[in-house]
Amino acid sequence: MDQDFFEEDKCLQLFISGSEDAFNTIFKRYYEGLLNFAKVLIPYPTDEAEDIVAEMFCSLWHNRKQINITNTLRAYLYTAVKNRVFDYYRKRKVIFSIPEDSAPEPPAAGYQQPDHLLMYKDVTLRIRHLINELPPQMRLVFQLNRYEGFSYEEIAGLLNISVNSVKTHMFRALKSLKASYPVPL
Amino acid sequence: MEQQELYLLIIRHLNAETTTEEELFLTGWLEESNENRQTFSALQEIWNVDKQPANNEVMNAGLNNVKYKIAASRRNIYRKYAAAAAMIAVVVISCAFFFSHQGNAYIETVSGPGQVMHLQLADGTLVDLAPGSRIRYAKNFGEKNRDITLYGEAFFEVRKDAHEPFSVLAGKLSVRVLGTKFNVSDTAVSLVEGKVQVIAQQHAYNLQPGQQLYYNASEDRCYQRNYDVEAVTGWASALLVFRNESFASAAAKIEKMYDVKIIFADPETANYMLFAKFSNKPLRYVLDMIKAANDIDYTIKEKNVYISRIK
Repeated sequence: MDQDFFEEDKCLQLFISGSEDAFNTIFKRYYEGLLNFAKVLIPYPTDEAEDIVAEMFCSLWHNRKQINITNTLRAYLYTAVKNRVFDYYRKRKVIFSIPEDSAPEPPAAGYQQPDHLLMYKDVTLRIRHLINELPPQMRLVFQLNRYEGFSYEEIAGLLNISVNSVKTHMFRALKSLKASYPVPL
Repeated sequence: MEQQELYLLIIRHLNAETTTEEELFLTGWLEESNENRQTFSALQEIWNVDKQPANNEVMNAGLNNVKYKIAASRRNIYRKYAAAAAMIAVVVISCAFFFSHQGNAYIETVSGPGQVMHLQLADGTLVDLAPGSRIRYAKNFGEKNRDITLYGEAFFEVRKDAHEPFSVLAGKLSVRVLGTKFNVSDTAVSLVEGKVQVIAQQHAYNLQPGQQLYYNASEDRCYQRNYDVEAVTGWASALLVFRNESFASAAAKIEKMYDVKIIFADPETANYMLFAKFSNKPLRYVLDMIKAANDIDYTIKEKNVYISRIK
């Protein structure tokens, strides 16, 4: 993990000095996660999330010399996307909110059928598939915590929900994954 | 302990974020039953599944989109400079064939009608600017950037510089190269030598020598296709090439090269197909040859050429 931070810091310095390769590295490291994040915040219209992430990277490049990263690059990028999403909703006078306690959505039944079980013989593939089947917000909370390493507090801040809701989402995600996970005999 | 707290505790354990007391509690809990151990190993396996491998297609499309936006906003910056410079530069130096003006931040060069301009840029790149075209680049061109904006058509022979890519923006097309020979107009990028990447409509196209990327404005679509090198780039050396081309489209090339206007008295003659090649010949020679091969005649009045049909 320390190694990662070291590499990222080096990459960031190169990027600020104008290296396009460093920009590409940062882009490739964060793009999918950020897009995922934006897509949950703006599900419709479908291409708006892509535009917001693209514009964020575009202005990141233009303003690279003035960037002031107080925390981590990861937190900076996610907050930048979140702010742009806010701007987007503000312009349209829509209040942005993720429902605090959305009713637990029933898990898709498909994967429990025997032929689907056969399709996902490989446990890794199967779990990945199950993660993708989670309701969007739940999946996002899980991914932000698991793959981006955000704390519950950070996730709560990014999604404008309470820490308890983050915990609930995490728990439900784990429970749902475990429920459809084959019990070893 | 509630199930939720328990699950989250296991996750904290897997992330190595637990306190000593929590570890002790967890160890005790695991000893309690086989079911507990199964729950633990299931969660562990779920947590250890790595992220889905990146979807390269989505990623590259996204990256090209961003690059395109960066290039486009750079063009807007140029436009702003252009507006500012236009206000400052009240006096514009111009002469019969040549017009150039220098603003604060960029240099603009315009070729006169009927005149191919040959330029050498600060980095050693050679440019043949087609009649009635404009190129614009920053004053510090060659030092920190090699970015050019083109209005019209030009042929580039780019000096190799692996550290500083050369880029041309023309209409909806954006070209990036390191060192090659290629022709750019508003509607097509045609590669003669080397390798270029063209960004159009948020997609990147890699061209091979002999290929061109053609943008059709009415369909708003791009086509990658082979092209005739002489017919496309001939203008730079006053070469006119018509390969089974309609007289109407040949006339457009003649008009551009000789700064004349061609008027067809009989619209049918515009559909005649021409197959000819002229290397640096005067206008009358070209017209005489076309006349000899077809049932047409012509008269020149100042800058107008009237094409009529011999009955």
